Amino acid sequence: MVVTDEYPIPLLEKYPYSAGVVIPPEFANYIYEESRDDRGMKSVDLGAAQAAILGNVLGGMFTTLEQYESRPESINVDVMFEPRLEDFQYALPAETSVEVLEVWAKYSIRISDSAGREITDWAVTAYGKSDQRFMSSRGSIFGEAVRVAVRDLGANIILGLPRDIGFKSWLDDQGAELSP
Amino acid sequence: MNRMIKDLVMLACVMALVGCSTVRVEENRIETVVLDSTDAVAVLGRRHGSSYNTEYDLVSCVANDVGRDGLQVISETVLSDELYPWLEPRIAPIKIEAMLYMMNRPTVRERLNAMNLRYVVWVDGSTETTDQSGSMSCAIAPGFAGCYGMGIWTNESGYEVSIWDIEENREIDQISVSAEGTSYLPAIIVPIPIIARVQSSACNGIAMQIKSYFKGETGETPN
Repeated sequence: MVVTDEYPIPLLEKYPYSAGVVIPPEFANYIYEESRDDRGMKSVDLGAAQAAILGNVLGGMFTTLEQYESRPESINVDVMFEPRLEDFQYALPAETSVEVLEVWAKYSIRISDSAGREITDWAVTAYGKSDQRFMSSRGSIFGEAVRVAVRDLGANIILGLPRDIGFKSWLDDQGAELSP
Repeated sequence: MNRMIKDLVMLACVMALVGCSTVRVEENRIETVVLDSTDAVAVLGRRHGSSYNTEYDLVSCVANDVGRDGLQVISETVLSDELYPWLEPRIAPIKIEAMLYMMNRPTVRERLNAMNLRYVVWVDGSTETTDQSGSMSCAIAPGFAGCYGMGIWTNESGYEVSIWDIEENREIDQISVSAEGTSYLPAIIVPIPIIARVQSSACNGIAMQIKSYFKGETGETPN
């Protein structure tokens, strides 16, 4: 199943800093493969969606955003983000007591400053659910749940990043306001 | 003549295949408003509950129905994208007081003004299958396929609707809609579904009450 990679640009006041994000090919092309035959989904093509939301969210939070496929030797931006997908799980309606399909994902985002020093290694989660509808295919409700989870990842980054102690401390050092 | 009888029989059959559902609507009108022709209304679904989701198709049905009466309606998809991430389930304001936090952001206020959005209608609830009984068995053999049996299930809807005036920052109306209907699936060789359109009835009940509210009519309770 391929998940949509069209997500909105967030409506934010930007931090007055430049940012970079490292999206390696294995992240941008990530496909979750289901090992069990009895769960209905064979694979979930998540890569384009997670890369798109990170680009949109960080692009909306900072004045400029540079995208890299690997970490550059010299950093020409104020702050660098390196996301990793740590875990992806889902629960089918038949596996829970409720009539919704749920999706979870856990990411770690290493954030470093212009000198390459680590500011924080931040864990952020994404959650989405969709309701099981009469006569609807499992693929469509699964796609909807993943789309909601990817949007939630963006919302969680926007809401949670200014509260992370390491990032907050870096912002304080820059003399910036706490939230975009 | 024969053709007419045939058509009537066909119509009766089609009508008979739609099961019955009952709808109950209650309203707590906190204050009455006069809708300005430039004011837009948005219909949004609540998605923060852990065990249910307000269905996207129900919210879309309500928005389309309300919009048919000439009201300017902004769809859930458009507003959620325009205000991303402020209406995502994790962030969306649950109470009107929390809306201030969102509205105090200059970018948000500017966007809302550009859209002429004055009223937000929140729909919270779901339609669920509450009871199932009966059994059916189907068989396929060379030259024959068929089913025999009877399936019965009951669907129940429960929706709470809250209307916010985001310019005045207050809740102005509360509507409660419940609907119930039983569907049947008898099968003698061919299964014939007789479906009670419970969610659709709830949608009509909600939309009718919202339209009545914005027209300044006295609340009425349909059966």
